[in-house]
Amino acid sequence: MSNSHSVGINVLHKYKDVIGNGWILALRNIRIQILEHALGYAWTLIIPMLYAACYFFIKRELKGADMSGSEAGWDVLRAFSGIMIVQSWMLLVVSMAGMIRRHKGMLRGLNISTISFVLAIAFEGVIAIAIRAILIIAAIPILGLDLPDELSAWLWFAVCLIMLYLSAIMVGLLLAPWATLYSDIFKGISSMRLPLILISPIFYPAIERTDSALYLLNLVNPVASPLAVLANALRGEELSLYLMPMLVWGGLSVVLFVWSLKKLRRQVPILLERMGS
Amino acid sequence: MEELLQVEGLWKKYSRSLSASARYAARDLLRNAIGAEAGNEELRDTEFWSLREVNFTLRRGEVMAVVGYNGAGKSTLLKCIAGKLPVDRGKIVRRGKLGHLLEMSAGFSPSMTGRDNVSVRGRLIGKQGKELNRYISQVAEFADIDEFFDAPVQFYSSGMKARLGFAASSVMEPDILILDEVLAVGDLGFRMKCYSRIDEIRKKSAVILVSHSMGHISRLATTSIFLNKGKVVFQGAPQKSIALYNEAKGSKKKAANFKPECIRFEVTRNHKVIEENGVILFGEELSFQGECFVDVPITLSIFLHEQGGAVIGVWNSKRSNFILHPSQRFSAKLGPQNLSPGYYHLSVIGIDSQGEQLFLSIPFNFRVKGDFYNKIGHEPIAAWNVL
Repeated sequence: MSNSHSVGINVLHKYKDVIGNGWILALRNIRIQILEHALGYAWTLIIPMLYAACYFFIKRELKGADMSGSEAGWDVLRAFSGIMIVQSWMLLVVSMAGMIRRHKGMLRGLNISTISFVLAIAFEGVIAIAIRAILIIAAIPILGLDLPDELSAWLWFAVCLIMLYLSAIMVGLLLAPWATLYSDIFKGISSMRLPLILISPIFYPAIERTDSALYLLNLVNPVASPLAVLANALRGEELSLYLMPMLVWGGLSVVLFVWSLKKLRRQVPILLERMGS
Repeated sequence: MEELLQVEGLWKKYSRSLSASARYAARDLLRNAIGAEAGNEELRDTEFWSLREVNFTLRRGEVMAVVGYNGAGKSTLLKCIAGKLPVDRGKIVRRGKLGHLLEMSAGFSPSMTGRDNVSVRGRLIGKQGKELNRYISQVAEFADIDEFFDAPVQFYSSGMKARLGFAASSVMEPDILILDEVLAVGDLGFRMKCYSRIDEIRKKSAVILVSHSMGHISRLATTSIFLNKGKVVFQGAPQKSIALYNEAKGSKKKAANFKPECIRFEVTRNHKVIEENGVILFGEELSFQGECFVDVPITLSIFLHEQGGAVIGVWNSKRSNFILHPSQRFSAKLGPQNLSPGYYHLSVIGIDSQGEQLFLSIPFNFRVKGDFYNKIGHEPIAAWNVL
């Protein structure tokens, strides 16, 4: 009994170290980003604001109409939050996919579990998503819109962000070994950015016609369903048809993430060998 | 003594082709993904064996040198032992905590200061609070890079980075310590500090090291293996591995025959023996005495090297018509050493009547203290007069 107890304590200590190291690495990465970029985290705001401003301007010019109404405000909010979330989703995928390549020196030179590097990016992702959530909430009154007064709306808002986060770290981790071997993966991710923005409900409301090809396309798009649910939740409207696909994506993401994490321990030495010195 | 490392029938292969290498890795990843065993124990197209049937054991207190030429498989062996590379056949059993100095500057961010990088490294190895502060000050003291410790690492010279890396990595108490060419860093003074640190660690651990410096190996190792094209050609006394290394080297190019066991010597000042790494003052007179263990008459040459290894002076016994016969002891007065302050070493070679070099000693390191005027090593004193 005492033997199994001490084994349990050892395992707990091991996990504590792995998680602690993940947090230290995350703080280190954030610090480096701040040191190496004059504007630091301001870029989180600059790019979506630029997109939203362009969207607002083009829409107004095309419609030639007054853009001061609440409908126009919700359109701008959807564009602003959508761009910001997709940008963050992409960054998280790229960061996770490039994890082994970026940290190959540390993986070779230090006795740190690979899981700590994954957790570091996951922690950074939580911070990044939290910053975006605050910015979206701040944008609502700035655009002259009403904040949702129901608790359920806020809960769904949080669930949508969590689902987006889970799908991003899952896709990134699934791609990580392949991205270590083939740089094409990064080119692929980068070239997917614009199509993803265009097919996702960012510049237009989510299609809810089940016979539409775009609806079917958005079912397999991990970003589309949370964005659709999020837009409805913030407006205090009925939950979208995309709720179930979003939850399925969430569950699948957790399963695939855990599976990839388990495989990683044996994959990393193979990859370090193939990367050479 | 407790057995800490066991390597049994270790085989490791590599591919010479980049595309084939990626292809094989992709297959291995897919096999791993479906939970199948690697199943790639045989050579595939473009692959070669980097290590073949390596077997040895290492006990606490032992220092094993892995000797061999570039491409012999030395670093691959160390990376396999460290668990950084998968093995294709055989097994490695490690008992106890593993420490390695493979990529010492790993994880140092160029934009962060040395202090911040060391602090992160310390926290990653589990140090907190006072223990972390002690670790940082120990590293700062050992690295000895003064105010640069608080400057971003991107402004460091390569020597400074190496100092910081060694200092940050060597503050540990492992059971098995793996060292890959780490002693080739920094200046002589720093290398001396590295020796002392490794000496401390090895008392409680099993050490396995790779170095191309036969002096380092001769000084540190208690046992050795000589690797040639991935195969263990010899396993045993370090001196024999060094001799094999020099013989093999000689087959490519005529070179120094190391055999430091052929000479024993001491350096004295005022009839007092100077300790290894001892200090002398500018202009002090040195003497040299010793004995050689060879069967033929020889002439001796004592070389004086500056910090970087360049020879700045030689005392050749031929110039004094001195020949040393077997079983004779010898002494040589080297005269006043007008050397500018810094680190130096002496080495001795013995040459037979045919002109063949029979041995080369282990270097004797010392430091000269005094006023510093310029960087030129040898500063003879002239008799100055006003005319």
